Amino acid sequence: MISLQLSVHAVLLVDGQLVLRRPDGDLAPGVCCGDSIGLGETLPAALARILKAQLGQSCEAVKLLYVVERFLPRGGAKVHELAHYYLCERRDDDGAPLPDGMVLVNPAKVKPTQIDPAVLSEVLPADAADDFQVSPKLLVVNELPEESQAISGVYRL
Amino acid sequence: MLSLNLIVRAIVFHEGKFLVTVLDDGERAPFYAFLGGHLRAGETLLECARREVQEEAGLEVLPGKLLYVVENFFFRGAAKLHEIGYYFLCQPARPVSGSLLDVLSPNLDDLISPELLTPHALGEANFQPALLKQTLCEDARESFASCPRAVVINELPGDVEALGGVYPL
Repeated sequence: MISLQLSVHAVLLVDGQLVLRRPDGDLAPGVCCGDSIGLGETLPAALARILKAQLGQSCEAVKLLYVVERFLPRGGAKVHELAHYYLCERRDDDGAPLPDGMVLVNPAKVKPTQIDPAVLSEVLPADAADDFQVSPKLLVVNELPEESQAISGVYRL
Repeated sequence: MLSLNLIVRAIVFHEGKFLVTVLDDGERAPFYAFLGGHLRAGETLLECARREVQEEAGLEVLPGKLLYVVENFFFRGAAKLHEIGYYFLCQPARPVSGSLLDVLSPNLDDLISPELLTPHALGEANFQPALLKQTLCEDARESFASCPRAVVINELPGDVEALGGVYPL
């Protein structure tokens, strides 16, 4: 049995650098800010609330970039993670420093070892070069081939 | 307490007409909707769109562009639902000669009753979700160039703060 997890995440750029969190320590890949959503709020509203909590800054989701579908084992369970990645802009762009635990990486040069899920490193460099003026993409990662027939890959939406 | 409903719908727009079906849920007057249904465990959104159209209409389609993400907060019976619907533009996988309706094999067990409607006819019809109808007809005229869009429908203002409307996505 696969359980479904919905989440929202931010592709947030500060001075052209992608903001990543390091919830699993400095040696682990970073993750885009975001989290699982609660019911009763829209996806962009959930992301704005989560970013306020994680960054202490008001941000707005301006464009859907990626829907990442991952089928993966997690903590003994089998999960279908449906993650929505939005290009975000800071509304309080007053140069306030980012909280501890955040790192900045160049989205044009991000490596698979720097970001989780690693599949983001396949699309971020080219999309950053296009200033993210791109159509949304579906990124599929299937680590449960016995449970799902989904074919891993990058698909244009 | 809201429950989550994840659905995928296929917008088959063929030769200037939308493929829709009449649905009767027993609670509302019969209405038109796109083919589609619930996301199953283990399948992607695109696979769901493909499977649903195959099951409901016997038509193999190629899902393409994501046109709308519809977030709908509503009652159904005693339940309060947060439904997220992903609407994909789909094309028949093979060339169709003649009317699209002639190549369909509707699933009568599911009471699928396919029809083809022009954007104008759809605009006049009882189509659900109604908020999608207006932007859908306008977007069709522009070959959906301004899509994707987010559509928010809030019938639970006492529970949810979301503002209904159509937004760029």
